[in-house]
Amino acid sequence: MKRLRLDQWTGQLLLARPGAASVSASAPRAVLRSTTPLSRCAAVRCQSTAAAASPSIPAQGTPEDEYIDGTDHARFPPLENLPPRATSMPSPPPSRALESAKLAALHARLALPEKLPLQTLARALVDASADPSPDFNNSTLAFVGQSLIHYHVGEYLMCRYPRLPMDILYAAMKGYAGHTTLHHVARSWGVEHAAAPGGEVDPGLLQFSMHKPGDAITGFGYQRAELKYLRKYNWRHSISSRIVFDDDFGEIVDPEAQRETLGRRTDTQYGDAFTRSLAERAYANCTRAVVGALYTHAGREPAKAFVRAHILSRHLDLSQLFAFKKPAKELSLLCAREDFEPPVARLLSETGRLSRTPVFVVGIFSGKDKLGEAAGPSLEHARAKAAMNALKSWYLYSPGEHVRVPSDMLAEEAKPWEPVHIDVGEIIGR
Amino acid sequence: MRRLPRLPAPAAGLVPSSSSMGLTTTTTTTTTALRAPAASVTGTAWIPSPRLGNDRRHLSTTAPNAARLKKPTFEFDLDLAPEHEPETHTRRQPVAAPFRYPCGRRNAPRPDELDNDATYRPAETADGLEEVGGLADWWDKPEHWGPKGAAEYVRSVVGWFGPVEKVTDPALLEVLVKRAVVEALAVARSAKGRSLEARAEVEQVFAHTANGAYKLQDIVAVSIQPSGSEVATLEKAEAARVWDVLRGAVPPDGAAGQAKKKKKRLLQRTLVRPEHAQELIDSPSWDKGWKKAVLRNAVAKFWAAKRIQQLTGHHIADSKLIGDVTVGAILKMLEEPVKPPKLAELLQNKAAFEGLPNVRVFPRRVTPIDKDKMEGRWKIITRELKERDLPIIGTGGYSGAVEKRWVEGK
Repeated sequence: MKRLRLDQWTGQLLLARPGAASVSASAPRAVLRSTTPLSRCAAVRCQSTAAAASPSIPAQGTPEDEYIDGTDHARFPPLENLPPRATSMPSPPPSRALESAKLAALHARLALPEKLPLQTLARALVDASADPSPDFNNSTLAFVGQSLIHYHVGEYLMCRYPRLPMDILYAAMKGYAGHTTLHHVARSWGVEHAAAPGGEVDPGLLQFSMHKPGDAITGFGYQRAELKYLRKYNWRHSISSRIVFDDDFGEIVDPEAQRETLGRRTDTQYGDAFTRSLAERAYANCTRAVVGALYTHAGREPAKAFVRAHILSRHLDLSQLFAFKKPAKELSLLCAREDFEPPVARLLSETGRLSRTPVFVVGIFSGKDKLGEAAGPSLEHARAKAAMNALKSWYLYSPGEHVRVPSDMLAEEAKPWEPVHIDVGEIIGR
Repeated sequence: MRRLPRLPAPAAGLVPSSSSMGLTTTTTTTTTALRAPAASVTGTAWIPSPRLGNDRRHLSTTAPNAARLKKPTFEFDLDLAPEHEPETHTRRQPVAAPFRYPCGRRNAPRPDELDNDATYRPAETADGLEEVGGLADWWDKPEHWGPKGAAEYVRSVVGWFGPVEKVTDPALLEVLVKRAVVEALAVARSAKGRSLEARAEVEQVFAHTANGAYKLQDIVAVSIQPSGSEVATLEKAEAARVWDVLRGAVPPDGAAGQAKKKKKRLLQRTLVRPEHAQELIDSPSWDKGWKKAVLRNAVAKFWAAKRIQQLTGHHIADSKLIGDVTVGAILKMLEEPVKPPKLAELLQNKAAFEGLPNVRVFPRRVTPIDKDKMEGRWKIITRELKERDLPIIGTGGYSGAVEKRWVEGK
């Protein structure tokens, strides 16, 4: 199979022209997955990057006054040699990355290889809202990292739980690779954030701004033609259409809404749910950027190992994600499809039928095989639960924890590929 | 209840003369708290009863007009010199002190006496008035301590303690300690008796030869272990010689002009120089083993400690002089202990954290403002404070102790 030369992409991604992403009009357009640079694809493909303001040329017309910090330099000489007017710089110069103890400690704590220089790690900590220039922020690294994370998480889930319904799969993707999760991952690494971005800030701190909007790559998909109606009339968008059009979490790609969200940043107050979500986004982008940086400097295998170690090692209880509407009907359809005998619910045991708290243990049998069993306070309740358990045991079938994934074949001297279990599909549409 | 003794009656006009109180004119209303009837305690209103008679304690009276005021006369002479103590106390010997005492009292003219000055208007507030007179700062003026000043007086009474800056050169210390030990041994041996007069004589001698270089070589050349014994002693003849040398420095009483000349000469030869001290030590006549000598005699020990203080400025605590004290031990006491290195210096010298990229060593304390700068918060703080015209560091003169400053008149 053709190897994706993502390293070529990253070289161009890292120096992509700002403002290249543009939103096209009504019809959804597909794009060939090729090695064309981002700038050429941009006119055709719709990303959900919403650049609210033109980030290319920052306002340089008004040089700031010399910053007087008000302290007595004779008594407290400055601790660091900062370049002049460092506070008016949006982010610390890359040379300062070598002096930061926090950065070096983070590098060591994550056991990153020496191939990954401290300057790149410092860049991974600069959010787009702190520094709009893509040469100095982590937006491009975050995009690469996001793609890799989604790829590895997606293939892992698909191979480990081949029968998982699509909406559950989307929820699981979000549970492993969503903003909140990656924010927790970054916090567990001990990444701290600066109070306000600037050139004098310690490079080992995550820098983001809650007031300035910045490019936020949140998804990759197609803009639907009926987007306006979806929003206005609350039309239902099916799972199948989501697989085709929407982003990796099954969410609609809506550049206008993204722009509006970013625009809200300019007049935020401190300390509400919105500001917390901004901080979460910044931390999540930092995690993605670290993965992207690792891929860029160390290659595919270290990046995959990193994703496995930090993201896929987390525990997510998939059985809690299910929500059935008509489990009995679904189970009978499943049995019909699989040529099992039709499911029959049988009361296995009961107690306290006439009391205030009866317990009925119901089992659902297909012929002589018990598909599922559950206890409930009433017969219907117990049957529904038993049907749900039966369905869960079907959907959560797994060949095992250490299942091979397709990216294993990219390694050298990989064993021949044995096909993984591919399911027929879902039983009923959701 | 006990009666208070009655004070001598003041003159009839000596009453508080504030005419603006607006009191009702009453005649002599007298109250004596001590004579309150017992029943008044229970809660009935206690009305002062007008009393006739000779009770002179007044709470308030009507404001008499100026014509009725007589000039106050002072019956006491407030001369505070000690000779004027009342006869009832035992008389002390008058102390011959060079002080000037406050005597006599000068009175400022009262408003009614100023007939010729038409521009005078009595002040209503204290602003801008200068304080004149008073005894609060009498002893702050050096001329009141005598012709030579307070320091000289103290020195003449108490004796000379020693130079302000301690001697630290080891050769100089050795030579001066030897001098001190020799003189102490001489004094312990030769000063007649242990009486106060003998001690005063020794103090005077020491005060006059306090400069280190006076007859140094003669004194230092004496051997303190003449018989080779462990204990430091002087031969009788040597002791007497040294004592005579020292006493020769004291100018006889009455020879004031000669004393001045001698003092000049002494001053010219002050303070042994470290090079000179080193020469003395390096010379062959210097007894190398003199440090092993043991001082056992208590009188000699304490005179030696006193003399060491006068010559070198170092103070040796009495607790260090208990039991047998060798001269070497004394010299060690005078050495400055090596100060332990500061942590910052140790870290720099050992380079303990060099090469560790996750450790940063700063040359000074990291203040909370430095932490704010590293996190980028400081520029926000300064910007907001500048916008509101507030001081960035400090309180801008608005500290909490403003009432204290008012009371102190600042």
